[in-house]
Amino acid sequence: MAEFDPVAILRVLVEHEVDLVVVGGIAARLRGAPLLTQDVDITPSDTRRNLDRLVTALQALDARLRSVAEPDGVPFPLDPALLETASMWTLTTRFGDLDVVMSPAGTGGYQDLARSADELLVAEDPELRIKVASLADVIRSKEAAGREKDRAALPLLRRTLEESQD
Amino acid sequence: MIGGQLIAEARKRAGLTQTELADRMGSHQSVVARWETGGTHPDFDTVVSVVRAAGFDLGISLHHADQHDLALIRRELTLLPHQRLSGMVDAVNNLNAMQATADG
Repeated sequence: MAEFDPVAILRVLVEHEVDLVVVGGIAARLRGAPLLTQDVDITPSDTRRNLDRLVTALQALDARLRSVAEPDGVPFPLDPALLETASMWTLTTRFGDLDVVMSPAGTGGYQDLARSADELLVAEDPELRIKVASLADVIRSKEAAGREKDRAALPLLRRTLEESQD
Repeated sequence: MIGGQLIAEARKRAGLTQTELADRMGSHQSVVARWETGGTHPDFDTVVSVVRAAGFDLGISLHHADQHDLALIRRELTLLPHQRLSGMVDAVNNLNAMQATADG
């Protein structure tokens, strides 16, 4: 298994000028929640131009469909029209797992999340800045998703939000 | 502040503006805005009724407070975002390496 390198994934997306908001566990960690995650979750703007850029970035990342049976992933035809047909794509790349979530549960997608997102410094040398969802929006989404692992993380996330506002 | 956060969360999940939520309660947008930004603190009964106006019931449960988590959170909040991410990546990759060794 390749080492998980979320910064490398995000750097490729930024280099291809993909408009996106980082959501999920990586967003929570960047906002100060001490949890671990092994995938990058992003919500891209769903304009056709942006999806074109996203497809090019995914090709550069050698993105494939994630599969338990195939650890290296399953190749699939990367196409903007195809991306629009599903609300979520669970992918694996040469730098680790990447989930493209068009509309996270409980949110209105990119436009909704971008309103409260901030551009954060996620790496130095070379510097990398990217839009990251607010912790309140990460909580909103995990609460709405209602999966066991999301519910388990909520007390920690809410506590982090309280502490970060003190 | 938790009450205001819950109100904002419920309103956004319902896809309502502050004005629309205020209308449902016969109130004003500025009242909702002050709750959400912490300008005023709604009491518990108010939070329950506002969340309900947004179309949700508020579920409450008790959990033991985890002081270890609190220490971790406070430590994490002293770091910059890129340092938080870097620390997490090191931890994940170390855990994966240990798992690979254990698996032979």
